Amino acid sequence: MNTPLDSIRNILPVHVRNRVDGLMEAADIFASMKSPSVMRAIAPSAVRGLLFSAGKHSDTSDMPASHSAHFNWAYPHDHPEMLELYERAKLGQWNGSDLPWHTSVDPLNAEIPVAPIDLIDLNIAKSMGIKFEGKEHMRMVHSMASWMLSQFLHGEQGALLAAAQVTESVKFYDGKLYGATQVMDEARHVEVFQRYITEKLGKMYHINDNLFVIIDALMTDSRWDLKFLGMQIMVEGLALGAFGFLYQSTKEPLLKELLKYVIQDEARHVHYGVLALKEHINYGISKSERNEREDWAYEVALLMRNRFMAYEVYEEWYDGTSVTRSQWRELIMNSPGMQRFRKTMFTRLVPNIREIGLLSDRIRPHYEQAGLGIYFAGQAAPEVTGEQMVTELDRESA
Amino acid sequence: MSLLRKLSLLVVDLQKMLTNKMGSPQQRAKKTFRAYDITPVVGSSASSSEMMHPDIMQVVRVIRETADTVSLVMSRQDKHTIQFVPGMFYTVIATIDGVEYRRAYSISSASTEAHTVTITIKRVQDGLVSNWINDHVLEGTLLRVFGPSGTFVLLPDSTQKRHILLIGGGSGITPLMSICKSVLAIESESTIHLLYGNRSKEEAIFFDEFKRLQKQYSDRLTIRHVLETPAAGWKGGKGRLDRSTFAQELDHLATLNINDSTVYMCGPEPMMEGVRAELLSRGMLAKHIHQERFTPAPTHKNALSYAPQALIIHVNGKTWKGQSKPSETLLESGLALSADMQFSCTMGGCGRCRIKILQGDVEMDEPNCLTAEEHTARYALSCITRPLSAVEFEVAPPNVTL
Repeated sequence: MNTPLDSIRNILPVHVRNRVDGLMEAADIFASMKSPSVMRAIAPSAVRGLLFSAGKHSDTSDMPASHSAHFNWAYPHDHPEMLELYERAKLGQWNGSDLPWHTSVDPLNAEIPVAPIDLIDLNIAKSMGIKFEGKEHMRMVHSMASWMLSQFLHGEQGALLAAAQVTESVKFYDGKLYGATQVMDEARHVEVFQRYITEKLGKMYHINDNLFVIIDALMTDSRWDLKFLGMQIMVEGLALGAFGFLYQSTKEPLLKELLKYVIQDEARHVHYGVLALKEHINYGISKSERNEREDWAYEVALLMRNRFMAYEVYEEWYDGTSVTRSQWRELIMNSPGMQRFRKTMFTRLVPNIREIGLLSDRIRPHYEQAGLGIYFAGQAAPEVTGEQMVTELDRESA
Repeated sequence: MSLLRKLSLLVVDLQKMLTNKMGSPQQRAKKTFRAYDITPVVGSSASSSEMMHPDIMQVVRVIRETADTVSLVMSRQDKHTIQFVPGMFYTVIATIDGVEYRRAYSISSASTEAHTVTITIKRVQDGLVSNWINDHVLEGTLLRVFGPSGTFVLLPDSTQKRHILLIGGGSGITPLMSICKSVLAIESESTIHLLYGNRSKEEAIFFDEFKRLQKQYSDRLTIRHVLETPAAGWKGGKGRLDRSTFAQELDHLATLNINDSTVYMCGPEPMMEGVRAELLSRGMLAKHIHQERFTPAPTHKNALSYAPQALIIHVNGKTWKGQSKPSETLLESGLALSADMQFSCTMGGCGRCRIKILQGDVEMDEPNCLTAEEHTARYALSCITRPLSAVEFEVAPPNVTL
């Protein structure tokens, strides 16, 4: 139905409409911030990322830290499960250089597609007047795959620096030892994703605004548990789902192999986050503090949901054409490949939020309203190991 | 962190944004993504930067498999590792009496071997190259090869647990041997059933090796030989491996459920037709049946009769224009013009160099691996196609839509 606002919007030139569309989306995020403390914690990052697109205007960004590095000169073995995870992580190290980099990758080959070819649905596109002639559809799949992997890469850089911060600030001594392995893991992930993107795909997109907001918010927050929550549960949890999706759907053998290794690391990372936070959130903090973290996680989940609209691809292909930003969003929301992608990601994420105790009846209606309620059930990280996960993914896709 | 400090950061961001917005449109356009030159890789497919230089392989061992079949164990001269996917083949270039011939021979070794690769060649009646190889190739011989190439492949994956039915006839066993050994070595939970048809036991390639494999993997590998003229006392399958023999054999494979199996077959055309028809009639989905056809070498037309022609080549949105030389294939002309051509086997066998003719007339050597639909839709294989008029074509076109 056309509201009066829509009719006004429809007579505006496309670039103005797009600007309005972007602002409305940002306004939605601000409007959803329920508590003043969450507002204080996220709003400056949201202004940086959503309004100023700070990640896109320069090759470098500075995010000043404000946490304190926590030392313990008694070296206590204070968390046996983390120590076990540390042992597992040491054994699970692998060398990114050993992947079969000699594999020839042709991102435009429809017979060995890097990403599912229905990420963009041709019929839905056609109904919007967007046509793909000849090779164009595979070029679009190439763009979408490069975009997806670029965002993975940027997320991994965030994880690398955040894992270092988490290692400094975590209170468990065993956690610090484990944390160091995660820093190494993340470096390896940055290495292999960057190499795959630059050597095999030839195209790297800039960081998505929503992802920038999330990284900025958790890097600049002084509270260690929010860094954990943001990085280990939210960013890594979603990444685990996203990698799983691509692992299942890619036909390109090098990428499949690469993701298989990355997924096994990621499963450990999320497990670590759940271990560190479960007790802390349920018993270590006050009710109001817990509510605040619950709101914060919800806010980040919303940013995550909006993170995958691939506006960067829109800007490359359709900026300055008659195709509007909101039409593009419609296309992304309804294309079956992207729907499966979102589903896989949140199927991994939401159960972990539940597992650490941040999915109380108080917040559930909000998740439901945001369309994320369907993921309430499902397995959380400590219930599955990385190997099981890979096996499970193989079985599902067989 | 204080709100004030965060605000001061915002001012810096705002400045960056304004500076960037005021830059030229080209500069701004760069901010969506960065482009990199994709590093070309030597191996299963080459790009024009390496032109059409075949790899040199050295024969390090010659194994006489049967009276008319030989296996050549080869290694690279630079001692680099060799990568391929089981099921692939090499194109061997042989110069006999001053004339160059190209023939495809399947790999028969496991993909787990890093430094050597084995191809197996059976004599074909009046086959120039297969007879030359059987008679003349010795340890130390250097062979020029293209590839490995091919789409009849099975990528082993240690996390897989699957049931594979291999059906081979005669020399069609070679790619299946590579698949069989690779899967057994890499996929510890997968099982394989192999049906192998031959005229006689003497003609069955790898007879002893299969025996050894069956012993080593007795819990996961079942082998059944089917012979047309077995000696007295033969306990295996009897008869020509056609549809009815295959149906009988299938009935006896009690441990095999075809509904959760994948079939890989290679052999004479009538065998493959019969097997396929039987499998489909039993409800197996066509997508689970993989077939390799050994197409005979394409007949070369008199190459010198082709005059130079104007060419327009489109690759990934880029365009090259130029002139072909007499006798050149479209692939050779494209490479000479530095277009981003794609190719692998160079003899019309793998489909990697497929192009779509947009305008003009061409002539293509036959037979080749294009499907009837692709022929009708004016697809061609650039490695065996020559222009008859000015020609415009697209490299790596989308699949033909039916």
